[in-house]
Amino acid sequence: MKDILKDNFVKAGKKNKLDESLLIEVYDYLIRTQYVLPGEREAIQGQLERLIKKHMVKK
Amino acid sequence: MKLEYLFLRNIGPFYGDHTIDLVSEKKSNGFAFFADNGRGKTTLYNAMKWCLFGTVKTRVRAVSGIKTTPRIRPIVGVESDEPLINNTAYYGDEATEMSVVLIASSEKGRIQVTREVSSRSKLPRNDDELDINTTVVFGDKSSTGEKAQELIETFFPNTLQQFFFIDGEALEEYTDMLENDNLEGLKEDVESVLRLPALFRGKSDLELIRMSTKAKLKTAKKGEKNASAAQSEAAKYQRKMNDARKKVIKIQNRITTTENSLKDVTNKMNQHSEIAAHVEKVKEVKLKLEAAKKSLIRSAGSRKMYSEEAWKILIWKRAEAKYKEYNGQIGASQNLDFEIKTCKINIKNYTSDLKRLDGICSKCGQTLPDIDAYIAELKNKVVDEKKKLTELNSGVQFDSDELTTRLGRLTSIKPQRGDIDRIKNANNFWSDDRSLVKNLEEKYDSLNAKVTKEATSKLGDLGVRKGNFDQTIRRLKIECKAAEEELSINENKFNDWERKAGYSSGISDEEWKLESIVNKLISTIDDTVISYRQDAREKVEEEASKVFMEVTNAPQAYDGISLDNNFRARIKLKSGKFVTAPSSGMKSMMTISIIDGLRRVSGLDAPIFFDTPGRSLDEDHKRAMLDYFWREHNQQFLIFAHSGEYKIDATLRDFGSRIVKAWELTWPGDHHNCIECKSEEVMHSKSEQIATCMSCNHKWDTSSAHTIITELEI
Repeated sequence: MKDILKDNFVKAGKKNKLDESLLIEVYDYLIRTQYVLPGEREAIQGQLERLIKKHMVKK
Repeated sequence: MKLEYLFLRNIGPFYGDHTIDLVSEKKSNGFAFFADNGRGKTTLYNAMKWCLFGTVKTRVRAVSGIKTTPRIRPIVGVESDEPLINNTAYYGDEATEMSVVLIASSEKGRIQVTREVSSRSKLPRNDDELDINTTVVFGDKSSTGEKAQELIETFFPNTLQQFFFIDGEALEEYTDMLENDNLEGLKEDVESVLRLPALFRGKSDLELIRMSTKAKLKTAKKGEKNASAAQSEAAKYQRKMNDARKKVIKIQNRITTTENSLKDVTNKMNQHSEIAAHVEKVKEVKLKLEAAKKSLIRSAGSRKMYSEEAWKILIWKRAEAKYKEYNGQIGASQNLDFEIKTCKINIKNYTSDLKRLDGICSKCGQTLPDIDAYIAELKNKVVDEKKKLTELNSGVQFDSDELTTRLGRLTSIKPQRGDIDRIKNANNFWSDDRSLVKNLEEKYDSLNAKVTKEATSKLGDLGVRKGNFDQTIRRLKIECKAAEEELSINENKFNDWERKAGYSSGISDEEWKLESIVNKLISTIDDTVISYRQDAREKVEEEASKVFMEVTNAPQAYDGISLDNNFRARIKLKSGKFVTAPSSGMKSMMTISIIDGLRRVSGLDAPIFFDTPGRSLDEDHKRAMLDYFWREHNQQFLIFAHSGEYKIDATLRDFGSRIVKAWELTWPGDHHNCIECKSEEVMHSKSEQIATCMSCNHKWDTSSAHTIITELEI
């Protein structure tokens, strides 16, 4: 079945003038780490920041 | 995700080890466990929950009309606490052990979850006395503790367990929630299954990144101000650095030029090397001559000084004999003087006595006897003394005073000891110096004659120039070192300021971009949540309606299910109106439909475990439900059914093709046929509670409450 959450996220991101590849990467990472509880997400925040910066360099 | 094996040890009525193998070649997805009360169907269901999440809650029961709040069941404890461990294992076994192993496979890989309990003491009173370990093996990696639990979450999310561990009781609760206004719990569950927490947590993560970025930017802005000042300072030191560098280069050029000039002068001097050697020699002889002349002056002075005493030595050669003579006479003269004086005194005394003699004693006044003889004696004495005096006077040449005077005069010209050596030495020194001076003068004149005045002058000029160049180079090198130090200081200061200026601006640029993207991502999440809630509701409504139309026994009357924005559900009639008083079966089907719709929209990939599925359903709905869920949905659907809910024979007959495997859970006493060989020839002894197979002689305890799992033939 189509992932409508992903579709909505990418659509909204594009409206905000974000690159599709970044949106997909961020979305997949957030879904993959969705069960890590708040307070234990320090490493996730670091990884998320690196992911965005990596994309900035690519562009 | 497919469950493959389940291994049980000492949990609930399952004493000892039991393995359930769910692997099959069949493509269908139905699995069924049939059992009477107490045989362990709910234990099986709970064993899997405990294995995955570590806790099992008690069922909600109505006591005196009031529902009890579910509580966590302990592993060990008294019977009223509903402990999970098998009773016989707890009281009877030497070591208290309980474990469940679950093996499943998915596209991500194979996962094996092991949760086991062991006791440090026999008959532990509570769970604090137990060691509980969880191990997850995923691929080649093995994890324990919290890491293991995190890994389980990625396959079987605890927060979503109500969407794959379904039981009739929870279904009733959901039905109540879907109908009523008390929607908080439902809304939370719906959002969980729709994966909205992934975005909420992501938003919090991004907000924290933004906060950190803002802080960095604030620092960077401050840095920009500092950078501006730093740039100005850097420019100042750059100018100073350039000046210092020019100065160093200028001095180095001058050193090079001077060194070249020095080289020229040295070369020229080398060309006049022969004359230069003579000139050097002349200089050397000249210096020696000057020194010798000085020495001659000194020795001449000494010679003159000592020569002034030389006459004494010459005179003394003649005077020395007289001196010795006088010196020898002075002793005899002094004795003679003494004797003459003594004679004169004696004559004077005798003469005086003669004049004064009158023949009467001056003391007693008596007439002295024999006076004439005495006078005659005195007169003789005077004659003798005068004779002696004449003789003494005849031997006198000089008297002692005269001799002393003469000796004194001779002593004044007497030379001191060593005077002669000193005079000789001074004369020798003078003589040597005079010879040396004479020789050097001759040598100097001879050398001087070989060196022309012009050449000497030229060489002299070159020497002066060489000396000047040497001095200039030394001075320039000192200046160069100072200039290089100044350059180094300015370079360091310039680099410091330039780094300060560059560092600040570099940071802010990257952080500005990061902040901008993070802001856009946060807006994206906000926009997504709003749009997705609507889209997801519509999609769940659509999917749930499809399910409902499949499982309802009156599809011609209904149009499907309607969900409002809070997921409050109603059954929609074809007429466009809503069912006002649905039956309990209809409501259960609606709830099942919505849960399945949510699962499908969320993409949750886990087997569905359904305990007592037919609890609130009539026969038609029970059949319709199995008919729908045991279709090929690419998802295992396991039911744990009471024998009264679903008759084994009828279920196997009606759904045999859809069922992969089925089991019956029994106690030994439930078996009328032989447990081993299925023979009907069994003898039961009610008094001994033993059954004996007449065919294979297998015996079993009919009073035992230890469940036997028997796979059914389909």
